[in-house]
Amino acid sequence: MPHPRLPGRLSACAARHRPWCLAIGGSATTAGAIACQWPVFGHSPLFATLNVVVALAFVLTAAMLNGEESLGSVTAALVLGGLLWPLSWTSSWDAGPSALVSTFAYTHFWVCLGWGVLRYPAGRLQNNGERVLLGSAVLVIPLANLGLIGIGRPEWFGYSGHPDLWWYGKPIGHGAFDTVVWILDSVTLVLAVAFLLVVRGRLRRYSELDRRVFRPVALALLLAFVLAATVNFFVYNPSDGDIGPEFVVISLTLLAIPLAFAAAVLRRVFVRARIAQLLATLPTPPDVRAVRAALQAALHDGSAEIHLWLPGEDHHVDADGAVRPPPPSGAPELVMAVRTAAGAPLAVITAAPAMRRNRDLVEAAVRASAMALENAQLHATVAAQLDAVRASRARLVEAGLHERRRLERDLHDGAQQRLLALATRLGLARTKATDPDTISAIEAAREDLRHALADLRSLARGIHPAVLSQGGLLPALEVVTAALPVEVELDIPAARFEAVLEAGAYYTICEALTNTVKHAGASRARVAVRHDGDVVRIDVTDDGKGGATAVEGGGLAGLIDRVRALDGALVIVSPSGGGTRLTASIPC
Amino acid sequence: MRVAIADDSTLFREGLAMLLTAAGAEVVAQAATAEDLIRGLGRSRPDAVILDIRMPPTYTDEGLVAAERIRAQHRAIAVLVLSTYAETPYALRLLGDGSGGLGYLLKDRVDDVGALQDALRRVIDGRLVLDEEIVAGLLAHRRRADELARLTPRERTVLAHMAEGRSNQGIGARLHLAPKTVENHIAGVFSKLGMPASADDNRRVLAVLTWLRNAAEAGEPGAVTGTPAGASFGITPGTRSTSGSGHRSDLSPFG
Repeated sequence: MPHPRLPGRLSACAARHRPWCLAIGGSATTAGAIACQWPVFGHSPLFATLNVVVALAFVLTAAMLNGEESLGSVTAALVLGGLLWPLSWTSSWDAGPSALVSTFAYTHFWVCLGWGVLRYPAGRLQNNGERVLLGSAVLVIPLANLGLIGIGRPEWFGYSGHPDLWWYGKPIGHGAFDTVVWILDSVTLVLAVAFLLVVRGRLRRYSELDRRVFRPVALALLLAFVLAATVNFFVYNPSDGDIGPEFVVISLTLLAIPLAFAAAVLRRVFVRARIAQLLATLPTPPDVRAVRAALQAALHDGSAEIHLWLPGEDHHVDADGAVRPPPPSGAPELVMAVRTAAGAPLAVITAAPAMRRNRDLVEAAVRASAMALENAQLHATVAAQLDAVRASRARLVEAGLHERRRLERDLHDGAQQRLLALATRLGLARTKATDPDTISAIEAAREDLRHALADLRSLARGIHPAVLSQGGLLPALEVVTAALPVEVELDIPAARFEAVLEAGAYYTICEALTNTVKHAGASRARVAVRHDGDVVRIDVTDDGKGGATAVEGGGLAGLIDRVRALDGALVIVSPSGGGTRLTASIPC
Repeated sequence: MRVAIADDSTLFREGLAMLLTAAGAEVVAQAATAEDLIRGLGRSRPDAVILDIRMPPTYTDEGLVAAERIRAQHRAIAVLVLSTYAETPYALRLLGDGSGGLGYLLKDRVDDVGALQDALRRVIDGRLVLDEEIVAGLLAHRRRADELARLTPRERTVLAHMAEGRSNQGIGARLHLAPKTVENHIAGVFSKLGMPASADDNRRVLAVLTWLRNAAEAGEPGAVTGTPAGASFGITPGTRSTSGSGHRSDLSPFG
């Protein structure tokens, strides 16, 4: 095993000088590949050219993809494969060490591919099962095949048996040899199937994203493996004889492997581009739910979640707004903290444990979404504050109403009843009195008391009309409008509303009518109250001179405030000379 | 005269009881809630009960509910409701079907035992009694101002007394007028205002109230609810509704 840093340095150097690397690697591979299978050009020039192309595809793809983070572990295997494949065709020379070199190269080529795939994308084998599989493959394919030379004759391998051909060992009987070959081929097929199962298991464990990226590679490899193992049953390995069409198919399939790796890289590039694109199309203002949907779609991870930090509330909420603390750093999920541009905590993004392999993509997504999240955080913070303000305003309105009712009740039960009891005493005194002076004094006191009671009554009614709590808007407004100098038509449902709403509507209508009486010069007015779904609509119209505008501190401005305190909205339409229409919509 | 009183203010209740006793009435029962009063009615057998409107437990309209129950269960017992506020809707709800024996007065009236006794006597006689403040409010309303302006001051006073539930005789006594004169005034009022005359005093009260409460124009049906039942005139809501679109499809060119 070389120094672990050495491949890294080599690959970094190659990535720096990529054009040189491509030019030199390409020329050298072409030259080498042509040299290795020179005799083949004589009888099968097309097939020889195809092999040159295969070797070039391996080497050039490796050079192109070198430095691509997700493929770092495969480039070495690709380069090696690109060298071994033409070397395996040195068998065509049929002289010297060609048989040994070819057998060595051909068998190692397949092992090398398997090794490369098993290392993808983590850069190492993942468990003992995979190690055992690779070990068995090395033992069975290259070693057994080299051993096979020792017990066979060159002719059995398809060589001419030229004395120049290097050979070793002592041949056994041809029948026994065929049996051994058959057994080895079967074991090879079993290994290919085992490899298929391992790759399938990996695909299952992968995240959806990895699956999408890895699937083309896996398919191309499996096809090549199964094909090669099957072909093994019929032909031993490359030889100088006729090159069967099965080898053309294998070569074509091999061509698909570097292309599949390139496709995998392209897929990741697409994913990254998609992340940028998805996050660029977020709505404004972005809500966390939209950011989460974009993240999940971009990462192909339906479990990705955003835990947005709310600085005012001191807790995290998920995209649905529910309080949800992020998982601890030791959790199986991929956990990533996001900070604002100013460095303040912004959010924690979690993804499925399988996404750990794609940390770079998740990071890209997190970076791209930071701005949107920061906006969303601001938005959520403001919304939360607004909710709090609304809630406290509602409480204030309610407390105000409560206080008014309490005051009115205190007046009613206290001062009013006392004065009324006093009235009974005066009445009693009046029946007992005979002296004219006393009688006139009692009459005067009675008169004063009547005034006092009337004053107190109008005071209590102004604080909170009892008839409103008791009978609702309609009777309360009937009482009010009866005393007004304009004719008021009431179109009000007898149904009751919530006390706060009733009180708010009551005072709103009273103020609107007061304005009508004071400023509009109207002869008629109309009050309509409609329960419209979840809104109560109040219309106060008059036939006055119109031209009403809300000025700071004026009656209409007060009205607008009153309606807003109930979370409602007030619209005033008052064309000059065309009457005034006031429309308040209050949610209920 | 046997009287029972229900009012949650002890001070007022005692004062009223004392006043009525001094005036010669017999206060046969006192209660702080309408429920207690109604339970004891079988024993106390009053000629009239005096009810506060706001009483426990809800302090809303217990008095009105109790009045309806008492009138339904004890036909012989008259009910006079006393209220801190002069609320027209309540008064009209109370006078209801015009069967009489009911009255609605402002609590302030307790300073005049004569008026109180008069009201009690009238409800016991099966008449309707309405507080002058409510009638004054109705008369002051703009919606009938033009028509009311056609009445003489004397006729207006007579109209008010009619609305308060007084008989011809009672009106004559109040205004020191001969019965014949009162009748003339009443006839004047009815013809000037275009109201159908009614021989029954209680019906007359309701007719006057209905007339006062109805808007001058006929274009506002249903604008005000609480119109006493049994009123013999007025605009009937619904008569203006035009035939619906039920037959429209027959006219459709696509039919």
